[in-house]
Amino acid sequence: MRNRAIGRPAEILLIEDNLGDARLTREALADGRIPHRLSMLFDGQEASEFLHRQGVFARAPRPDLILLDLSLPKMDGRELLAVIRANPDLAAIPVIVLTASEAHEDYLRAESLSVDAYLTKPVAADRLLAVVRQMKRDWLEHLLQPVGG
Amino acid sequence: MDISHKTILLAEDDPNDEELFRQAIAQANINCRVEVARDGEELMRYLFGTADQRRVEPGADIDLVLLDLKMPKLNGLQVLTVMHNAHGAGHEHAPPIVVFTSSDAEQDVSTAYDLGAVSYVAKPVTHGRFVETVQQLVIYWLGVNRRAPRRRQRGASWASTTS
Repeated sequence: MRNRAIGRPAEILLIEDNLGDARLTREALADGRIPHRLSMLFDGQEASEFLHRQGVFARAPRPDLILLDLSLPKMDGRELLAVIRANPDLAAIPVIVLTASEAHEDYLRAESLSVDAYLTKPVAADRLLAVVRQMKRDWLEHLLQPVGG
Repeated sequence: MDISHKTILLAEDDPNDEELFRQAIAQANINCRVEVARDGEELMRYLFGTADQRRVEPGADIDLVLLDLKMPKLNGLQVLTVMHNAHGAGHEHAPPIVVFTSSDAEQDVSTAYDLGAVSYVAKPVTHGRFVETVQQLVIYWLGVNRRAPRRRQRGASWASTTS
């Protein structure tokens, strides 16, 4: 059966305040043929409220994957990462950190942040898929079945 | 600010950018109406009406046009050219056109002003600045600025006194 997604779509949360980068990441996800639903947030404070289902985010979905830019207004990405890892309900969510350049990525790797992967911007569909495949999380097993031909 | 009786025509081909725009004005409790044109041709239909119901005044029910230069079918500068040519042909009361675009090229800025745009604003890169800028633009053009009063159509001398 072609063009039939298997299982439910992946819930992906993108936290990025640069609108141009956000657009390119969104397009890469669309090109990547992972059936998904994307939530976009633009600062760390809102992202924390979303993840904790506070206020207007009371019915927010729990993300299967977080794409995180570290330089964010209100609450910095590193602080948000600490919040995620400190909460037993959220700690297991895979986080991919989006970086401005390979040099920036090397610099961040030296910090040994508790993240699952790094991706240099602009995010390309094939790189994103490769990184997601590497993580080999359970939820990916059925989601990464190709959709259609 | 109650500007619920005013209407913005947003020329924007990207539904996500439209959503960002709507969120930005909702956050500031700005309650104007927002109409959206997805490409240059749709924008022309809004302003001039369809072929069978030509408007006497282009965009008479629109208080502000926010124009993206990069649009399918007719781009923003082409739309400005048409509006510019319509000006002076009994179309003096066309709505103010504010260019709101990702292009920061000097050539685009000067061409837009030459063609009658009243303001040129580059879309900010970050979400926070984008929201602030949208709020300032809408509050200024719909809440603060006052447009020229309508002139009578007959009597060309009325219009010629301004030159």
